[in-house]
Amino acid sequence: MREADPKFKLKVRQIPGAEKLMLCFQCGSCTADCPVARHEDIFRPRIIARLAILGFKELLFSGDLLWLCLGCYSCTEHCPQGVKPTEVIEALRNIAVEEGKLHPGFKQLLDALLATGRMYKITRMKERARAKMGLPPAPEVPLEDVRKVLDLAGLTSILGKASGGGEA
Amino acid sequence: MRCGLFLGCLVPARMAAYELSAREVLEALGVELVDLKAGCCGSPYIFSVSHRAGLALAAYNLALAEEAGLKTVITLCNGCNEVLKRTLEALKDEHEREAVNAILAKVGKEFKGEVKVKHIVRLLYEDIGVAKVEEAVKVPLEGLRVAVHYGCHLLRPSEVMRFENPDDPRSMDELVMAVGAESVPYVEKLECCGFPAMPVSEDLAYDIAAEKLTSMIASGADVAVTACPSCFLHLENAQIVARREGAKIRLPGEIPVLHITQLLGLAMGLGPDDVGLRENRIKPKAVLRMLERAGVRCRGG
Repeated sequence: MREADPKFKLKVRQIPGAEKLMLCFQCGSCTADCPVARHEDIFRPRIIARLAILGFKELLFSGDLLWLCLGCYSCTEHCPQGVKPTEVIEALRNIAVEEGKLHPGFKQLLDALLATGRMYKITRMKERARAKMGLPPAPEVPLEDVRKVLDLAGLTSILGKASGGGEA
Repeated sequence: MRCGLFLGCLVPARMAAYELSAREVLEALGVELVDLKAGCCGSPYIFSVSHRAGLALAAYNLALAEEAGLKTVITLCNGCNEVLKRTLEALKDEHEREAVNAILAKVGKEFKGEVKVKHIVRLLYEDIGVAKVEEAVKVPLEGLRVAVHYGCHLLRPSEVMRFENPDDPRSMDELVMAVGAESVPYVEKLECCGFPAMPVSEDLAYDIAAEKLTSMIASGADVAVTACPSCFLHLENAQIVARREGAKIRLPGEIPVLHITQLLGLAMGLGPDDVGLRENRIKPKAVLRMLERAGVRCRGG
């Protein structure tokens, strides 16, 4: 039997957007609306909310579970209790990341952001194609500023920890 | 009307045709664009990793626009739209704004909260207006059947977007009808395209796209129309993937995808090359036939 942490919900509730977690009455409107739930048997927003309330952290943080959410907000729009399941899952990801469990796919994108100021690289070939179409060069990123802002906001250290610690 | 243009990454990296057609259409409708010297918005992904970092980067980008004296920032991307708008909302909280401004002060910037963020669809719908778009049409695309794809973060979360009823939006449908085309109903109209799952599970991402595309194709539409580079990329890519032998997804046919500004631009009399149609990998034959009938030269298509 896995250990439940009764204080876990208090931590989740502190994160902006997840304040109303405890109002969930398990109706399942979120799961009915979820495009991921149609394709992934393990992904049920209703169950994720239940596990968060009960504090089954290990189950929540196992495998890719939390990272399958698309962030489409369909559940948030239709929750009769205003629980905002999309935001709850985002809050749970924040906590997982604090514990070094950042999904490698997400890490790769954020590493690129920190290194270049962009998540998607603008290749030389694309720059030439842009010029041929009569478009101006892609805006130059104020990289030094961007890196400093992300560093001061704690992203550099989070990404560093994620590479040292275990990955999801 | 003078607006800042926030391009983000995916548009300049992959979707030059969207940028080109957006610039052409907005210019024709009297919008003056000022290019912001900014990079990535952080994408909605950044908020899953660090709320503070997401807010700080978006506030920095918005501060650039304020510094340039701009009142409105335009995005072409639903992802950028979500990031920038949720930041505006979150930074109404004084506590949060102070914390973020303490970071920005270290690079000599300040977020004042004086700037508005508008997705291009919203600018076209609310500020320019459907009537003005209709007046600008030179080649009515009568009889063209369009499957409109709103994408998520133009409408949802509605508490942040405060735009349209997310269960019954009208803006893109009305813009499509303004050029004489028909917006066809389809079951999966308001569903996500699946793109955000790409870093975690490509199979899942393409399964969701296939479900959406199947619904679009079943509606009998000639083209799908998007207003987001991620949605466009994914809905087109999924069809290219489905062509491969042994592909995991199967589709009952194909449907060309157009950026909404390509559709508007062509109807407003721009040529295929003016809207970058060479970049579209599935050619919109029904549209090209209509243009040819109207006497537009379509060598680029």
